[in-house]
Amino acid sequence: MQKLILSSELLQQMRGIELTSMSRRNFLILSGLFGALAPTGVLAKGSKALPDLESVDWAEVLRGFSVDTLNGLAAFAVPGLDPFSKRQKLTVQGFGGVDNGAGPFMSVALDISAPFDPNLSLLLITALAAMRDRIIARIFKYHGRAGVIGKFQYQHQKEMLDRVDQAFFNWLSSSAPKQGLPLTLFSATLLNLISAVINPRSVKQGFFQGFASLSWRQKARVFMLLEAKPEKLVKLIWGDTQSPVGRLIVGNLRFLPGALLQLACSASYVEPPLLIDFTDLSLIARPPGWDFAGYQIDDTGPRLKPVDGWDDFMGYFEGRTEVKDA
Amino acid sequence: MRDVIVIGAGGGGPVVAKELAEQGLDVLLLEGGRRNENTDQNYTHYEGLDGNRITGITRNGPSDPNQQAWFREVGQNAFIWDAAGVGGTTQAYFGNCPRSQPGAFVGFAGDGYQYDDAHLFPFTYEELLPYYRWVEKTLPVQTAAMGTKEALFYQGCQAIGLPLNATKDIVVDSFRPNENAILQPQGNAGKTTNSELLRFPQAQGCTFCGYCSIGCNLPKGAPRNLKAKRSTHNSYVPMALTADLWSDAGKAITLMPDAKVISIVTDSSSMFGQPKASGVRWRNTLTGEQFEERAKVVVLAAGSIESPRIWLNSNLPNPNGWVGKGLTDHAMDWVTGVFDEPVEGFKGAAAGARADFPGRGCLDQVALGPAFYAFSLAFSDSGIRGQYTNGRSRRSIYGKWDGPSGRVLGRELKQVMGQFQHATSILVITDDDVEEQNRIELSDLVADQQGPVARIKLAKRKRSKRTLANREFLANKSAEILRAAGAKKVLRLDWPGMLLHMQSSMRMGLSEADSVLDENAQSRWVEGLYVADNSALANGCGGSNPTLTTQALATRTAEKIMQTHFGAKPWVGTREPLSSVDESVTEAVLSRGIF
Repeated sequence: MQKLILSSELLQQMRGIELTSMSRRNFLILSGLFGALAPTGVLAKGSKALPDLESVDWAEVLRGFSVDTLNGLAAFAVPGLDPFSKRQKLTVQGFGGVDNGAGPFMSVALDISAPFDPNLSLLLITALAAMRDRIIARIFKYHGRAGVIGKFQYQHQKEMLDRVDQAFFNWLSSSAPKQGLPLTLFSATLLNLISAVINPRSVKQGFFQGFASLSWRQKARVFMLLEAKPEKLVKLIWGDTQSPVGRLIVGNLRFLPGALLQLACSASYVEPPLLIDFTDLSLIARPPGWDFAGYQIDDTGPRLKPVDGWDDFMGYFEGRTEVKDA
Repeated sequence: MRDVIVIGAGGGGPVVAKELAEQGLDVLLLEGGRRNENTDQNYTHYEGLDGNRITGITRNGPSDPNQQAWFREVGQNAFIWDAAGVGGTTQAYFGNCPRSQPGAFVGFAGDGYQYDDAHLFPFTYEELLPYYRWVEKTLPVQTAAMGTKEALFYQGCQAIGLPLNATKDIVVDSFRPNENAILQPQGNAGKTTNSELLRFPQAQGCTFCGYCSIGCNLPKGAPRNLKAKRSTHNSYVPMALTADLWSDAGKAITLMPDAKVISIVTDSSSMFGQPKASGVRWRNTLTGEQFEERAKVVVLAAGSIESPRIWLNSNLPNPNGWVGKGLTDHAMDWVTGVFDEPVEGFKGAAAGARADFPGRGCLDQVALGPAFYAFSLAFSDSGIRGQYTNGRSRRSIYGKWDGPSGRVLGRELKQVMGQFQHATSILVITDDDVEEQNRIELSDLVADQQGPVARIKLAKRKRSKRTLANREFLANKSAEILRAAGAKKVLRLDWPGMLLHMQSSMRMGLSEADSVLDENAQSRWVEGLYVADNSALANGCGGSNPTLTTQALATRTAEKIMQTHFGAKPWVGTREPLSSVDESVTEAVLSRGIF
């Protein structure tokens, strides 16, 4: 296994990040990580009982959380008629990125592009969690009137969040197998946090929360903010650009937004691995992206596959097959 | 002890290895990535599998597909398109082999155009010509055939008054079929889509499949050295592995894939008071074991990112601070034209036609599959078209194309992709200046088992005035050509950093103050250490695709090594080279079981 070794300065600084229980609670809500637990049923509505977190399969919860966000991105890049496109209020006739399996495809690609290190996931998420109180207060102020966050004011709800927080960070720090980390989770968390800044109503529970709940124009605004001036954004939200952790976030912000958009477009037109028969590398069916683009494949044989050549040879320009020195 | 250890089996390393093996030296060729064998069976043309730059077999990563790709710190919106494995990035290149623009060399008489005069090659263009001819014969380089898309491009060029260049050298603004390291179609190739009729020997050379960017294993059934595209995996490496069979004095090289170099070992016993390269330490990426071998000469050819990284991780001298600095990348851009009629933009050689502009750079017409094409349309530094401009001024985003430059996303992307068969694109390859700010350095945050990873810094919007002006000129010229060819819609993307051509990060130069290598490509501060990849180039070759110049320079470097360290005489220009498709090479490749 290829290993990534984080600098001691970076690790030292990460250990030095002091997250108050309030900031950790806020982060869990704003990032959508708390809301992602809703489908597991552990956050039963109206119950004052503390959740049973023993049974939570965090890997599965986070995978669903990340893929939902990435599907929201796929619908943004290439809208179709799927629920994510409908949610963003921009549907376009024909297949969309979501139909082509772009969300799961992106998740795999993102994670294999970053070396695995158990510390890296913890570091990135901890760094994101260290949002400035001023920003959180702004979102909360709005949300106090309009959404989910305002409801988290009673002691038992705070205790519930504290328990989720403890279970989540314990799992993140443990040596448990962690698929979908670190870049997918970081990307999804980042998109959702910025979505909360742009539209506090995006903080919800269950599906279509965070980035996936925004309109197409709001999604564009998320990227406008991310692409504009990473240093400014990091200073605004996290308040620190010069420390190793601050630099790590700035570096990621300079690179990641573009990479996510490009990957979403590419993944919308690629052959989904599910359509490939790996026993003979033929296609089980025509990939929707290829169909839509009118990309031709060899369908003359018993199995569909990419062509070995085209019949487009027209000769040589002016019949010249070789040239000499000037 | 070996005679020579070459680090990196990409575009340049195998050239040195083959030339020295032909002379009878004992050469070890180390490659960090995999060796792709039996490509008839093991290679696919799926963009999501082998074409995938993150998970595919030509990615920059280890052999084991379950391991993560090798990490680099990239502090900006950029895409690095380099490949690990035997053949390096030539596995996925387009085979374009133009010679450099002559104005990039010292001693050029001048033609009225402006070049990067402060960073010229430290010898004349005329001196490199025999090495160009040698490589052009060895690969071999041939004039590209024409298909529908090329005919359209030539029509556009003629319509705006560009003359044809019917030579190998770039003299004036002109267009021409590319000189490509691709065997041109013979037999059924280019004439049928029936895969049964496209097997070797009924089909020979380029079958017009359009998958150059994924890698070439066609025609199926052809011996390794007769595959159409002349990546070093198909040309120089098979020759180097069989040098004892086709050369009287030859000695086959030892090729070691999955060998990721940790450091260059030096002795301090040089007669000049300098350290002397004496060996290489590496790690097997499959087993984790570490090895060290000694050699009389070490050749660094790991690419423009990894070569400076290895140098810096080896703690070798860097007195003027130029190790890793001066990276040129041709400040690439992308212009797409959509036509009323199908233009077969994804068929044939990935880049069969070009236009050259001395002092400005060049344009390549490019074919891509749908996933790469969608990627290219979403890749921009100007924000999302119609939504935001990412701080770009109005002057920067408007030109002879339609609307502002920017990412094509959402509804518009679907519209453009729906006309995929009606589109063709032009890659802008800028003659960019060598600048200190564009560089490779070591990350102080993250490392892997080979030491700190590379950090890439490229100040895209703060390039020199000449670089930025050249880029705008070429983007507008692309739009003119497409429009003149009949395009109904022209889109300019304003790509951020597309690191596909990377040069000059370990540059040779006239001045000791701003170069790492002397005129023989030997390190100024470590005796017996040479550099033979794109990083050794003095500049961006005037905007010409760099591989041929790197290979010509690597041939010259091999000669210099033989002369300086092994007392031999030069051979280029004294006899004809053997072509990698010569029958004797084919026999040698088959008898040694290289597939």
